[in-house]
Amino acid sequence: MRRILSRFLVDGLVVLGIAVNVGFLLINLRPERPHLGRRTKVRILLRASEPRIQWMRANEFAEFAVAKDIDFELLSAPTFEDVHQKLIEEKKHPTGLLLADVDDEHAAELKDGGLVRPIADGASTVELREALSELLREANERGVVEGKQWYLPKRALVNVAVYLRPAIEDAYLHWEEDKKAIDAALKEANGKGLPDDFRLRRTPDRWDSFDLFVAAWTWAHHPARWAEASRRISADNSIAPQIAPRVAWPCGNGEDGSGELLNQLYRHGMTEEQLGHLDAPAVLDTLQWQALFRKHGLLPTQCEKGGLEQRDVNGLFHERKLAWAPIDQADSIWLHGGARRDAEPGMPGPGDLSWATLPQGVSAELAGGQPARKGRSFSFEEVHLWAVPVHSPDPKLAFQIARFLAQRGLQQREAEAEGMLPVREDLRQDYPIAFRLEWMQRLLDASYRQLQRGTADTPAAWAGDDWDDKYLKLRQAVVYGRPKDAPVTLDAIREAVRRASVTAAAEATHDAR
Amino acid sequence: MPGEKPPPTAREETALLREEVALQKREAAERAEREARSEELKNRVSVAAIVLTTALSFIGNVRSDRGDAAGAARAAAESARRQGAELWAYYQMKMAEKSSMEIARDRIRLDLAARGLPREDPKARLDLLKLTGYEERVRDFDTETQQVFFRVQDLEAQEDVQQRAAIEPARSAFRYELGGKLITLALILLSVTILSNKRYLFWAGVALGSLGLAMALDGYFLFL
Repeated sequence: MRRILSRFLVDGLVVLGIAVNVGFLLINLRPERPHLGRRTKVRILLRASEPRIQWMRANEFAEFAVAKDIDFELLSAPTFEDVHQKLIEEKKHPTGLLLADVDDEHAAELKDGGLVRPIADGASTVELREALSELLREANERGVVEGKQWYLPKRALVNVAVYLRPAIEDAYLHWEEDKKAIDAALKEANGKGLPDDFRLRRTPDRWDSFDLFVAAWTWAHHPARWAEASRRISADNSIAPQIAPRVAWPCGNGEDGSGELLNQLYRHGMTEEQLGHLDAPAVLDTLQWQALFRKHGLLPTQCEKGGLEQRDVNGLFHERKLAWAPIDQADSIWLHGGARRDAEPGMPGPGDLSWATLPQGVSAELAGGQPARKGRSFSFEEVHLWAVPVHSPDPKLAFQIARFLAQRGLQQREAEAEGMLPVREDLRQDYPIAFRLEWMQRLLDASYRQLQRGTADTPAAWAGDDWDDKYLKLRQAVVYGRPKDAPVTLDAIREAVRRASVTAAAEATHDAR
Repeated sequence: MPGEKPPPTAREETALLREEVALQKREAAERAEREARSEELKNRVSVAAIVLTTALSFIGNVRSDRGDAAGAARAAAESARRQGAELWAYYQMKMAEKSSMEIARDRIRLDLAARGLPREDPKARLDLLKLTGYEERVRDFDTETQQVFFRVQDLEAQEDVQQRAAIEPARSAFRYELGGKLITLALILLSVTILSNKRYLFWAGVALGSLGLAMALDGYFLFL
């Protein structure tokens, strides 16, 4: 019996050996790894426009799709608010959404709403530690909620100031021609005029609110050869130089307008604890400057009619109609153009563009010939994160995709092509080597300087407790709701704030009833 | 004599002879069986050796193919890196030329400003002509350097992709190589089996060979 079994075993092994050899013969004919598994369909939600999604599909997702037998369906959401809404829908009616692109402002809210699950669930401790060790510590911290890694950093954005160098040159050379008028306008607001020994600083990197006002005044009162009529080639003189406001920021009542208002409040020294104190000095100073800009026609007329969103501001700059504006890295790349072969053309004469930190907020009010209150240069850093929806079909795959997209080469290319601040530690250290285009280095230099000079996470209460709406309404009433020639003294602003607060309280009571 | 062993009788002799014959038969049977088992072992070793040697030959081929694929991807990455570096040098040279044009352009502008001459002044006509020329050259340099940058961008992306493309064939080649070494070791054990005629060595060889084959098959499927 044993012999028979042994014989069967040996014969079986011989047959198996022959089969294995036949198998190896076939492998020799086609040695590439076979794709045996079924193709997996994966849905990923991105806060991105269609062209950006196309770029990501071709340059990032395609490689992963081939390697892992995946068919990606990339869904587009125009804003993070839309992402939030889609995640709520996904929780109610799961559609197999694997991964979503969210921002740090919504991180706690998404977690509290049970819309996402920790990204750490899809990785072993070692994998997670390895992934996090490659990324910036401060970016990782934005993805931590209650001590657990709920999100993985994707990229970051921070607002800086973009300007046209010839415009700065023009303002520096000619501002004193308007010094009397500027002094008079400021005297009307603060009773004194310009600070003692005021000189327009040569670089916007060192500007404060007075410098911005003086430059804006100069630009708004002289024909601008460097603007839409720019003679980049001296022989080209087809358009006559025009006089127009050349400074703009998002002044509408949308998400961009509220973000810019909060940035300005913080530049004037506001802190999270002061949120809700509508008569805080930082609020009054911010509104006084905005009212001053409005009164003297230093902002585009669109601010009077519904306001400008960031894309409108970018559009004006793209037409070379502006000299200075706040902007983030992604929009800067779009504005400049030429960051990749298939990019849309940038503005005319992008070589004139440069970037600086945002101006230090100081009060218009003077004490001892100098600004009575000094804030700082400040801008909120927006960190975009990868989130795993609560009903994600494969959290492990979700983590792998997030990790793949965070590779050095891909992140560098995405930063170059689409504009972003890399969240990888090595790229942050090596950016002067990795990003070799001179203009891109200037953009990144300004961005990192801005992060050093002043940045923070947007306070959760700003959107969570609807303070964004309340402050926007306040600005609407104080800056745009009064006649254009209304007084802009600090007392007048304080009184306008008081009235607006009373009206808001009455409306709230009425709504409650 | 009393106590003396009596001489064997014919009957006893016959019995002894029978015993001896039986013993010889048993020994012959045992020898035959041993030889048969040895022969069987040799046959099995031969079959196993043939199977493993053939597999080793196929594995050698496919390992070489995967190694070449990984090497080709690395070479393509290196070539892209080198071309990119060369183009960057060219880019820098163009930028230096552009800077000299910009300096010349700015010098004319400063000169015009210092002389207080508007651009429309006939005395500034030559300056304006030169200025236009320099501005056009600067614009052309911008266009050219942009094209160089796009090419460098493509090459850097290619380097990146090729480096990743080398990973999978390299993993395969490593597994094929390890499988091949295990099979070689198995063949050595099988050779020793023939010399020593030890059955357990045969099974050890078969086990090691099977492990080698499994490892090589994973070189294809990359499960682990």
